[in-house]
Amino acid sequence: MKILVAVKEVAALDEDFEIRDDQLDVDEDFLLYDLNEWDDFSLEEAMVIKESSDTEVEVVVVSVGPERVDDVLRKCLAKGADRAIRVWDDAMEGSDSVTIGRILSAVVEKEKPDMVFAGVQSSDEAAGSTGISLAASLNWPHAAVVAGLEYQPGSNKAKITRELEGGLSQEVEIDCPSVLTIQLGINTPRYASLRGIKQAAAKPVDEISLSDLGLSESDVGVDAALSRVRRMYIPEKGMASMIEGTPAEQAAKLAEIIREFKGE
Amino acid sequence: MPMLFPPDICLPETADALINCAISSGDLHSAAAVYELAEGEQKQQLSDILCKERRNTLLLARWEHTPAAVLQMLAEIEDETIRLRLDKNPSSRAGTLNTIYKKGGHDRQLISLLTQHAHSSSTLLNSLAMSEDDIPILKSIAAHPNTDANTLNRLEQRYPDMFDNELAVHAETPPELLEKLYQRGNCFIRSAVVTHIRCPQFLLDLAFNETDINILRHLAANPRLSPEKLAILAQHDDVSVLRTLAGNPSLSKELANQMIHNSTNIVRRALASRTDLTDENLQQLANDEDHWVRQRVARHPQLDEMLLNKLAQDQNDEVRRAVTRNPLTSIDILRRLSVDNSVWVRAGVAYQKNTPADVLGMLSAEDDVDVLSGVASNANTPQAILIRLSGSQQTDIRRGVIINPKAERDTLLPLLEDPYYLHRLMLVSNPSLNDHDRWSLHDDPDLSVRFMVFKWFTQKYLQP
Repeated sequence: MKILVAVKEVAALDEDFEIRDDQLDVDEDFLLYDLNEWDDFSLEEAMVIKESSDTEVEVVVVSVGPERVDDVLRKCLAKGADRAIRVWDDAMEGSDSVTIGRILSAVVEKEKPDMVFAGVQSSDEAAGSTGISLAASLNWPHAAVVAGLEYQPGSNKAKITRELEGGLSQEVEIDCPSVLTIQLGINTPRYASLRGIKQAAAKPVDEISLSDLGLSESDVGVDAALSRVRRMYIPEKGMASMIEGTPAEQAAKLAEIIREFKGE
Repeated sequence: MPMLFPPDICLPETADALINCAISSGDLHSAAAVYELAEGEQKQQLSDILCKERRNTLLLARWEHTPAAVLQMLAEIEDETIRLRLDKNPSSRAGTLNTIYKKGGHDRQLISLLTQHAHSSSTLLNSLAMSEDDIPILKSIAAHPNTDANTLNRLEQRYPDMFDNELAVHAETPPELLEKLYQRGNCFIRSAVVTHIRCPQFLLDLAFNETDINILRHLAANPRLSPEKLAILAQHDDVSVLRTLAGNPSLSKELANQMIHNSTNIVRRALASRTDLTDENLQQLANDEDHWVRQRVARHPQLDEMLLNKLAQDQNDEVRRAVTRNPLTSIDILRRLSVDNSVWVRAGVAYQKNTPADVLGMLSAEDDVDVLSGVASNANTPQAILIRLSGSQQTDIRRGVIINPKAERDTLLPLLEDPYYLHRLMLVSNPSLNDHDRWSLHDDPDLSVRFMVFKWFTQKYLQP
């Protein structure tokens, strides 16, 4: 039995940063990289299934990206994933989430997992579409924003709880294999043990190229993408005003604003 | 993480060996930690590591733990973005800020940040106060705690009325200027002036005749008010004035006795926090209908055994919890509260420094994280129990063992492999561990732990 977890290395911004000269992205010097928070929960969910199962469960993490992505894959290995796969070719630069979904679906066809987990969204791009694109590309059942999961390895059905707007939950039965996008809070992700981190440093990350997946350059990258970034910019700041005065005066003005909002 | 250090590297016995270890690793954070210790060629080698890539330099310029000596070195780099980050970094010292000003003094954003930085010197602020015309920048200078009285006077002379809000609350504002502010200010400015430690006595007398509640409320807090004036204010019908008065350190016992009957809870709560209450006052407040009043009494530093005993049987959990936190609470009461129905109360017993070992042993059998965290951090807990708790799955409980001043080396050693990086970081400075134990973390996967190890040894070797 195998669970494939799609993970992404995301970039976090400092409060001051510079946009690249081509205005398509932030200057890389100002980016701090880490494992996408949602994917940490996806991995933990896979680990919980693995650890509570009587049958052998293999957890495989996969990511699309250049060599530096090995750091987040090793972080997943340190937390207990059995194998890590990194897919990259310079031609993949500029791929959108639909194209990434296509690349990941080729990995799924190669690995033949019983379940695929992905995060609901990534913290940097926030498109929320990679997992769903992957399911569409595979023509597999899928469920998004999964906040609860009951699944026995080997079973052909899973019971999931989806998080809806307005505090509602929806219980759904889904056929397996399927693609689930996992929501924050479904579990408590573990810290990697020191031993796990040291062992992960020595573990290999499988590198897969386009040809290994049976894809060509025309299947990926900016030309294959269905959407393209035209410009990245800092919008003009909205209306805000500082409350002036001594602390007592500021408190009085705040109280006045609160009263006004309450309609008193 | 690639291996930074050779696997068999032993504890550096000298400053020189420590610096060489950081240099040979090429590790950014180890290099930053030892930079202050190095000189000459070694310092240059460390600078090369720190400045090799711009993204690392940017990172160090922003990181709040970057040592001041490294920030000073970074200030010499001709890069406006780095200067901006140094200007925002709370660890930048006055010398670094002066360098930033000298090199980038034409940049408005940089100057604006300099006037808001806690370490900007009064000399720099004074110089900016004289040369700048930008009102928001001058306002920041008027609000800066390092701005001296002369500069405040000059700002007021240059722009009368413009910075009255800032000047009225600034600790260095001289009495003459406070008087001027009081005469021309609105009720909020006058309120700030009567609270000011340098407010002249005659202004307090003047304010006493005001009718504005804001001014009277602030005045009621001033310990320099005469007993007569305090007595008159005690008759005021505004609750906020009475509440402030109840906290005034100069309030007489007679007035406190009188105010204890006040029908407003917040007035009695303020009274219950006073440390000069009589036994009768405490007795009365211990029977108060408001549980917040009783809670404050329960933590009072002069409470007798009888009242503690009474409050230990209070129907409100928070009051009983407050009893457990009172250092005067007897062991008998603690024993009784250790089997309280409320887990919050039992957790209070677990944290109490007087709780005996046998009670802690009993509490250690519970499964509540608050109770166990208290047991883990309590200096009276037997070592065998600490060893057991150090293997808990709960991070809060393991952290309790780490901060326990009586946790022995053997108890702490397994925690050097704790999965939570913050725990390993905390252990670096733990006095129960020896230098070899600390050094075992020098190649930790977490950068902040490595930094802390090298910083700890740097501080050791910097000592004469």
